[in-house]
Amino acid sequence: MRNLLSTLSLGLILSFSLSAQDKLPNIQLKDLSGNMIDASSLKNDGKPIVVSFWATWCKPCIRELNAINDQYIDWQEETGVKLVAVSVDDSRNSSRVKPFTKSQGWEYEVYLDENQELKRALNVNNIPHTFLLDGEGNIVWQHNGYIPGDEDHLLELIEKLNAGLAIEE
Amino acid sequence: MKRILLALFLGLGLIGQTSAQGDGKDYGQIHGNFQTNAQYYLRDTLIDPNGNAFPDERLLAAGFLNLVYTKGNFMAGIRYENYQNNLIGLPEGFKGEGIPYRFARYKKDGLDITVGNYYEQFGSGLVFRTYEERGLGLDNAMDGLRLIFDIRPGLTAKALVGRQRIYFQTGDGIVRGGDLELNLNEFRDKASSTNLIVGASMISRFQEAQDPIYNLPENVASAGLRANFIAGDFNIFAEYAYKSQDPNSTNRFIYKPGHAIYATGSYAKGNLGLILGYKYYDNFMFRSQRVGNFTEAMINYLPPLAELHTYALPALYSYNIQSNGETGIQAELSYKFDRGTLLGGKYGTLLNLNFSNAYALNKDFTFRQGLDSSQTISGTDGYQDWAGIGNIQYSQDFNVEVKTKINKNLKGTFSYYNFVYNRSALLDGVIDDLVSDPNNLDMVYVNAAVAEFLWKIKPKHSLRTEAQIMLTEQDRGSWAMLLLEYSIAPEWFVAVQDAYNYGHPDPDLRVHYPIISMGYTRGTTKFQVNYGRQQEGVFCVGGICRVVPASNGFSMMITSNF
Repeated sequence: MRNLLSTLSLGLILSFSLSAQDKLPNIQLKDLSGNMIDASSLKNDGKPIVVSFWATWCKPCIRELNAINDQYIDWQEETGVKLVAVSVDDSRNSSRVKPFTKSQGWEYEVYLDENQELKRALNVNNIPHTFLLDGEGNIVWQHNGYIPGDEDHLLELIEKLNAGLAIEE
Repeated sequence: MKRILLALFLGLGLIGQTSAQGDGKDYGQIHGNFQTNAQYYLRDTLIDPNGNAFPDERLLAAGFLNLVYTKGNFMAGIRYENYQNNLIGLPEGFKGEGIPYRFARYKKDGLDITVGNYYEQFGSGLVFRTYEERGLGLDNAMDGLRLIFDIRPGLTAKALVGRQRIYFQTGDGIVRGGDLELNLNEFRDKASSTNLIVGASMISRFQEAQDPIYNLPENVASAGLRANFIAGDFNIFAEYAYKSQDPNSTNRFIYKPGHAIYATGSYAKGNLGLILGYKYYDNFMFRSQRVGNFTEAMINYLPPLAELHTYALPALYSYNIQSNGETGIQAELSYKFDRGTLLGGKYGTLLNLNFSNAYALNKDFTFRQGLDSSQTISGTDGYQDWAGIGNIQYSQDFNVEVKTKINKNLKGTFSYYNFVYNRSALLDGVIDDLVSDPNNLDMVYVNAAVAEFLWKIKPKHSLRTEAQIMLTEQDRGSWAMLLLEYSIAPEWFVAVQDAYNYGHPDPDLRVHYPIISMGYTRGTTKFQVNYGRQQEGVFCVGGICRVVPASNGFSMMITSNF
C-alpha cells in the first residue's frame, strides 16, 4: 500500500510541471439537434473560447451563465470570445436543456455531455467549472465554482489573452 | 496486475516529464483531480437521541484522486479512493482504500477501444447506464471491455462485456450487451434542421443459479428501441424497453417480464419553452446481480421525470424513483417576458411553471385468506393483467418560479411550491401492499415559498440572501429558513444560515439548525469549512436519493484539479 501511495504522489509531482499545451480531448458531445461533435474540434477563428460546465439543476451555474449573458454582447464585440455551455444533465433533464436555454435567452453554443465523458476526461469534480481556451485551443486557465463577480475576473483574463499576455494563475 | 499498472503510470509520468524539458515532441499530458471530505462529529442528544449519527470514530474522512493521461488518441487513467471511514449517510460498503478504477482507451480506424473500467449509457438509460455520483456514494462502473465502432458516418455500434463494481469488488453477474444508433442527417451527410435518430440496444446478465426453492433464470435480458425526431423547434423522444423475467430481491422474486416507456416532447421558440413528458416503469429495476441494496449493481437508469429541487427546504421532499413500478407525467412551461413590457419591466422577467405527478401501478393487493399479515398471493406481487395507473399516489409537484432583475445591482428569484408527498413509500420505503391500506399511509401536503436576492454591493462584493418558508401539518411540521452569503470574488465567501423547525409536532424538537460556512478559492483549488447542525434530509442527484441523518459538527472539504 505504501508503494502505491508513493507512486501516486510521485506521479503527481512529476505532472505538476506540465500544463502548458493542453487542448480539449477528442470526446463526443451532442448538440441540441442530436448531432455528435468532437470537443477537440471546437473553434472560434483564432479567438478565445470559454467552456462552461453546467446543468439545469445547478443554481450557481445558472447564476454564472446569466451574469455573463447580461454582458455577452459587449464581450463578443470587444474580445471576439465565444462561450460554449456544456450541460452535464443526464437523461432526466436533457430534454429540458433546449427549452431552458431558449427561455433564459442565452446565445451560447450549448452541448450535452450526457454521461459526463468530457467532464471526467477534463477532471471536473463539481460544477460550475469554467475553462478558458486561447485562440489555438490551448487550455490556459480554469476555475471551479462561482462567486458573483467572477465574470469580471474572467473578462480581465480574456482581455489579457487578446493582448498577448500570459496567464499565470 | 496492480503493480504493472502502476509501473505503467510511473513510466507515463516520466515520459510526460521529459516533454516539459522541451525537446519539442508531444509526450502527452497528465491531469488529475482530488477531493477530500472530513467531518468531526459532536454528540447532539436533542436531534439524535440514540446516537445514530455519532460514529465511534468521532472523525470520519474520505477522499479520492483521479489521474488521467492523454496523448493523441490514447488515454489511460486510475482513481485511488480512501475511506477512513465513509461519512455518515453514505454507504458503509466503501471502507478502506484501493484503486477500484483504472482504464486504458484508444481510438484508431473508427474503432474506440476501452479496457478496464468505463461508464456507458444506451439511449436514455432504460436498458443500460453505468455512472458515478460521488455525492451519493454511487459508482456502478463496469470492469471489462468496450468497443465503439463508427461503421460509417451516422451509424455507430457499441459492444461491451464485463462485470460491475460493487464497492471494492465486482458483482457476481456477467454483463454483456450492445447498441446500434443511426443518425439520419449524418448518414446522408446532409445538414438540416429536421433529423431522425433511431437506436436499438440490448443488455444481458448471466448469473449462476443454485436456489433450493426457485428455478431462477441464469440469463436475463433487456432490450429497447428508441427514436428521436427533431423538426425545427420541435423535439420528440420516445423509448420502449422490455425485460425478460428477472426474479430478484427488489421485486420479491416474481416471475414477470418488465416494461418501460419514457417519452418527452418539447417545443422551444423565441421566448417560449414547453415540455411534456410521460413515464411508465413496470418491474424494470435491473441489477447485474439478483440481490442488492440501494444503488448497488444497478445497470439501468429510470429517468424520474420530476423536477430536482435545490433550495434546502423544498429539497426535503424530493422525488425518489420507485423501483418496482410507477407511472406519471410532467409538464413544464417557461416564458421570458421581454424588457419594456408590462410584466417584463425594465430588464425582462423569466417565468417557469412545472407540474409532475407519479402513481403506483394498478395492482390487486387482496390479502391471502387465512393470513392476518398483509401478504399478497405469493409470487405475483399483486399484478393483474396489465398494470395501468393505480390508486396509490406517490407524489405531485407543482411549482412556479419568477426571476427578475429589479435594478442594475439587484436580482430576485421568487418561487412557490405545492407538494403531495407519499412519505411512506418515498422515504420510509413501505411496500405498496401495505401502503394500499390507508391506515399505513403517511401523506404529506406541503406549501412552500422561497425568495432569493442577489445584490451586487460594489465590484466583486455581493450579498445573496434566501428566505424560505415551508408549511405543513404533517410529518415534521413547518419550517422557516434564512441564509446570508457574502462573497468577495474571486476568492472568498462566508455564509450563515438557520433553518428553524418551528412547527414540529413534538415541542422539544422545535429546534434551530444553524450552520456557518466559509470558502476560499485559489485557482482550481477550493477549501470549505462548515460548522453547525444539519437537519435530517434527503440528498438526491438524478432521482436517486439518500437519507442523510441529522448531525452536528465540523466539516471540511478540499477539492482541487490540475
